[in-house]
This record gives sequence, C-alpha cells and structure tokens, in this order.
Amino acid sequence: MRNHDRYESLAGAIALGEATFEEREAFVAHAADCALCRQDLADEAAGRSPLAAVSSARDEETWRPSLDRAIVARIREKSSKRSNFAVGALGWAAALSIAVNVAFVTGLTGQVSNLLNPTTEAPPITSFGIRLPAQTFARVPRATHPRGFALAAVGRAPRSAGPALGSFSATLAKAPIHESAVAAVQAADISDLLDANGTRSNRSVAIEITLPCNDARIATCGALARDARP
Amino acid sequence: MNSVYVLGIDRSLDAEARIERLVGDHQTKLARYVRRFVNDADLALDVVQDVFFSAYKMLRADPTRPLTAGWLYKTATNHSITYLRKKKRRGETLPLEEVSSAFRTDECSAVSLDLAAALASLGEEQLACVMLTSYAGYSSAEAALILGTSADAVRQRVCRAMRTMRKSLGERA
Repeated sequence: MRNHDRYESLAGAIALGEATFEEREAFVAHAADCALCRQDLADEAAGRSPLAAVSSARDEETWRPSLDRAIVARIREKSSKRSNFAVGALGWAAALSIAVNVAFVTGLTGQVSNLLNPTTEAPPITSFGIRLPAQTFARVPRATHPRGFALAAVGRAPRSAGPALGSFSATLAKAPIHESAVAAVQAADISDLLDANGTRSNRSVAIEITLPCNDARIATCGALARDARP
Repeated sequence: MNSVYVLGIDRSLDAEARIERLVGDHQTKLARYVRRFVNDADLALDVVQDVFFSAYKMLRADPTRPLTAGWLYKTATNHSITYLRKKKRRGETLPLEEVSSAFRTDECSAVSLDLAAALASLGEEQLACVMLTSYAGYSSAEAALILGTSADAVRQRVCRAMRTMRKSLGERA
C-alpha cells in the first residue's frame, strides 16, 4: 500500500468511527501537510461528512414495501409447478407401466425385444426339414467351410426354381434368422448335393436345417418350411 | 447491526416457513437498501424478490443451512452491481431530475435528492462500500467479507467515495 493510500484508509476508518486513538493521531499529523485529508478532518469535526448524510437518510425513509404476498405467491407457484410436474411424471409412469404390462401379457414385448435384439436371448431350438432341389445351389469356394455353402449360395437360388424357394431365399436374406440360417446350411451335410467331381448335382436332397427359433421365428420358418416342401 | 442473525437456528421450520419469516424480518430494510443503491423503486422490488427466492431455493436444497442477514445483503449488493454495470454498458445514465422518481413525495427533500445524486455519481465498488457500511451498518471488516476484499480496501474506497460525494454535494449546493 502506498503511503497516501494508507492515510486514505485511515480517513475511511475515522469516518466510519473505527479508528483507534493512535490511528487518529497519525492521520491528524499527516493532515497538517495534506489539504485533501485536512478537508476530510474538517468535515468530520463539523459533522458534515457525506457518510453521516447517508446514515440520516436511512433513518428518514418511510417506504414500507410489502413483498410477503408476491414472494409467497412465487414460491407457491414454483411448488405447484414442481408438484404438477411430479403428478404429470407419476401419471406418465403409471401409463407406461400399464402399457408395458399389457404388452408383456400379450407377448408384444417378446416380439419387440426379438426385433430389436434378436441374439440377446438363447431361443428354443426347433427343427424342420426343407427339401431343396440341388440345382438351386451354386457351389462357392470352400473358404468358409470345407463342405459348406456360404450365403452367396443361398442368395443365388434362382427364383425360377419355384416360388417357395424364391420366397425362402428372399426372406432369408432379410430376416433376422439370416445369420443362423447361413450357419445351419454351412453345417449341414451337403455332400449329396455334390457329385464326385465336387460340382453341382441335379438331385434333390433333403437337408435338415436346425435353426434357433423363438415363437415369432417358428411362425416364419414354419411357413417357409411348409412352402418349401415339395 | 445484528450480523449474526441466523434464521437457520429454528430447524423445525420447513423452507417455506423459514423464508416467510426471513421476508417478514428483512424485506423493508433490504428493499430500501436496494432502492437507494439502484435509484429505482420498482427494480428494487424485483431485486429483493429475486434475493429471497434465491434464499428459498438454497433452503430447499439444504434445509439445515443457516442463512445470515449478511448473505441477503451480499446477494442484494451483487444483484444491484450487476444491474448498474449493465446499465452503464448500455450507456444509460439517470438524469438527476429522475432520481426523485425512486422516492416517495415525503422522502423527496432537497437534501435527500442531493444525496441520491451524490450516490449516483459513485462507481459501483465505492457505492457498495458506502452502502454496506454507512447505510446497512456493517463494519469495514464485515463489508470486506461480504465484498470479498480487505478491510483496508473498504476503508479506502469509503474515503474516496466520501470525497467524490463531497464534490457532488458541493456543486449542487
């Protein structure tokens, strides 16, 4: 603090009535050589300090505003908004709970769950036979499985082979059972489809495809199996 | 000034009841303080309402928190300073004849209006120091705590404010 700043601080302390005797003495000694501080001292001695005017103005004020109602109303409004929100949220929660229960009872949740996340649960296994004409398969490189058909083989099944098979292929390409079906075809014994040279046979064979299915898939696969049966 | 007034002593009251007591006890003093600070009665009411509402929200969040009058004055001072700074940034200055609009007719003595004009001539920090010490009755040490500065700085600002006001009052006289 610079030297004169210190005396300003003392002048403030004197004006606020907080200065000690020693501080006042030091300030009086300084004021003898400082006109500005001498003026402060003179005002203080004469009771003309602007701070005194502020204090007396406070005492003379008569304004008595009443904020009780406005504030209480604002608080109640806020509480009411909060409780409205709570009631609203409770209502929505109840409605949602009822909807979920209804969906659960009607089996909708299972279907929705399967659609959203078909591989999260282990579905029951069901088996059905599909008799597939051998010529509908095309041989693919044995990269993925030594004796298997990859997706390409199934996907290439020509629609001309018959509506059922075409439908099966098309559906297979889109359905959630896609991956499982491909895996099942790969795993099936399809040696009968190939002749001794490893090329495509013209014989029709029965391939047992085992697919992991839940109710919804059984319905789909069952229909496919029915349609595909010669 | 009872600076250790703590409303939170009565913990049996809920936030709403505590705030009602707080409003009842402090609304007049606080509204007058803010009105003198910003020279605007309507704005003072808005500021005070905001201060009490902030107190209410704080009590709701932490019902055990003690609330001092110092907190009310600190919040009111900060709100008022923010308002004055915004006003200054917008380039608005209050014509001296409009200063009287903030006060009731029976409060509009020449001395009172001169004082209002003199206070309006101060910077926000000096004004806050003068208002907290000479108007609200806090010591320089308490005002320093409220304003987050040192007691010496408060006294110095009071001294400088005093000189500015003296000049302003002298010119008007």
